[in-house]
Amino acid sequence: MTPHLGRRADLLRRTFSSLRSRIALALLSLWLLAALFGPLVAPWPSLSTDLADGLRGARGSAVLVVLVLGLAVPTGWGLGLLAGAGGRGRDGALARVLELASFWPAVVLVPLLATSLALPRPLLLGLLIAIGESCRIARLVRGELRRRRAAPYVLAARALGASRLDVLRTHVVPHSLRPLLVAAAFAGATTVALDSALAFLGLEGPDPRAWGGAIAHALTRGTLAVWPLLGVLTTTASFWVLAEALDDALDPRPRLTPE
Amino acid sequence: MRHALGRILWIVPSLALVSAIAFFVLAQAAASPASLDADVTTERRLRSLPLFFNPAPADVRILSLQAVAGLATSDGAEARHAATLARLGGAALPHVLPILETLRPDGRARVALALLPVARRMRLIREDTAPDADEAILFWQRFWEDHALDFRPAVARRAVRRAALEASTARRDEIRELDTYALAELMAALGPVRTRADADRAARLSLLLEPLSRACSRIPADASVPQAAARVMRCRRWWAATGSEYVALDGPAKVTAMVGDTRYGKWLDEAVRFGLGLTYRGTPVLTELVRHGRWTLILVAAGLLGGYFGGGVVGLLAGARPGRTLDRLLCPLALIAAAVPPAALAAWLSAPEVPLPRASAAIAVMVLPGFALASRHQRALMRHALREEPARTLLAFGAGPLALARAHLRDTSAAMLSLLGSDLPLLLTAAFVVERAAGLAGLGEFTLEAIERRDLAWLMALALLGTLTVGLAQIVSDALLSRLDWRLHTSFALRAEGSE
Repeated sequence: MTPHLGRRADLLRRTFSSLRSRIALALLSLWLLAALFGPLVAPWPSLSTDLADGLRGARGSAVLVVLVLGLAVPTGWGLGLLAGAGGRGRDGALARVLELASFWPAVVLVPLLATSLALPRPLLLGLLIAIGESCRIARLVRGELRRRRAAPYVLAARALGASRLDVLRTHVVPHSLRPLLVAAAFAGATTVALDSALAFLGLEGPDPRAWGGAIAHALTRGTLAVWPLLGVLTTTASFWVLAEALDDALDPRPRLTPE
Repeated sequence: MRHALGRILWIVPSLALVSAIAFFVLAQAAASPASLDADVTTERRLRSLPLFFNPAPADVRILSLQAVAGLATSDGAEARHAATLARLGGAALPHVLPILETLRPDGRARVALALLPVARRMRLIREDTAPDADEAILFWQRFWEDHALDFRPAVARRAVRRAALEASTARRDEIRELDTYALAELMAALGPVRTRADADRAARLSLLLEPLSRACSRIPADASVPQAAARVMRCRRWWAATGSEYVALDGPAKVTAMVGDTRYGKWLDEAVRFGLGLTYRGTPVLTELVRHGRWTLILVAAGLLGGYFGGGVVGLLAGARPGRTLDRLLCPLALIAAAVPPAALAAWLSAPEVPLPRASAAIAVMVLPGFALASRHQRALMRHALREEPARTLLAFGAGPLALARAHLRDTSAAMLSLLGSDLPLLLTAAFVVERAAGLAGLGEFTLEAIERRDLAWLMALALLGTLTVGLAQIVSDALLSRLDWRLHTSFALRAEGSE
């Protein structure tokens, strides 16, 4: 095993060392498998409405989470690096752009853009959530880089004659991975929550597929959509637990506790 | 301080940029009629304008001369040109009648006949008479010989001022003979309607405006002040959209119209005149924001203050004593608070079986996501702080959990603050969901209606207010961050000295 792969394996081992993080991964995997293969094992019409809604919602949410993470993580990281590692002018300009882009509530934009852009609703929703999440990730990465640039070891490296690029490459940029991965896990939770919220408000579009829509529909009938509720609850909680496990795993220093 | 001031000044161009981008995006989407109360002509005129720049703004001179040229050359659209001349009315006469003599006889006849509806509206000829072409030409030549001096701004201003003070037949006839030429002065005299005297004045002027525009309907003498204000608003909106077609644009006015006579310019004008514009209900956006904003503001404030600050303190204490009772309790509680869909919880807590007022239930639900996020984040930050050198030193000196929490309050709070600004849009979405689930009449319900009706003014106002709020929140959080975090403070100091 190469040292690179060894580090990855070590990170995975530390991330899933606790029972909670293993349960979270198992729950997310279960929902993903159910969404992918559920209809093959038991066709939706043969299931109860509640369970069918749960599986349909899982499929919709899985597609959306993959889309959002696929777009937001590289974009947010790139923007954060550009802003945090750049000079004052570039940092300021990018920070202003991030500020401008970060306020566009999906609740307003989704239904409006749906009428003007000929994009499928999930793709549009994914793009809009990805924009918001990439801004958030970029802000976190930028903040981390700015903090690291003023750290004593960075100042020491500069004082010893290391070039600015070398300092960034070896001492600053690697530290951006921690906020990036943790923010990505939180972005998964935010995506599920936002998707459900918009569907609950009836902004889902003509083809209902999200858990929120099923919850709203059940509430109007005076019942509870158990499977969709469980879906939102368990996936959001799992993403949270994974975020925390990643956060711990990416900081290997021992933690002391007061007596 | 200088940095913060610079950021605040940045908000002005940022708002201008956001308003332009938001307008572009929303204008693409707002393809169907927006207003319940808007006049069809107003909407049609607004949609026909270019979005941001109008290289050739159409004024009464251009429009009337185009119509005359079309009628004179008989270009196949005579009916449309005749309708344009009839609509422009008295305002077109100073540009059309002086050149009537220069037209070829057949063209002159067509123009004179096309202007007859204007003469009927001015009650210069009877409704049931139908003069032939020669009579029509002769009529307009004589009319202009007698009345050319009346078609001057000063005369119109004087006539309108008198009509606004006294509703006599003589005053009404004076205005009627000027027809649409008096429109600009009539609209200026209309003014805002706030008192009984304003409503009475508007009622008198509405008698003169009614024949000139379908958007300006008559205001009954016994109409209440709000009723009169609503009708005046509709009339002013029509004028804001079409006014430039009834006046001649010269010099600076023409340059201004290149920007002002666009869809964006009209929105900006409406936003300044009517308190951020008019909603699809015909009411000022600002009035509706104040009326509906209370609940949304309370819910967002509950999320921010109760959630973030409460959660922050609890998270700090739990993080300082990992594995103890508070920490063990906080983990599942925060997870549940974060994971339970706010909509379902708000709907359940607002149900009649639950003995909790709907408002309290909504506030409680709003506190939960912020509490969960802040407590977990602050706990994680504190756990990180326990790995740093300062914490190790404090522990070596025998510091307890409270002393540790107090010592790290400053730097862990700094990181928390940086999240506040970017979380506002999420909190706003959560507030909309909770409002709907709990049945509270906040901005959410109004916004959903506005989205359905493609209400440009409301959505623009929301985008601008949101940008302003988030921009200010981010400036405050960044300023506090640089004060609280010594590393950022060092970075700023190094920058100031030119070391970076």
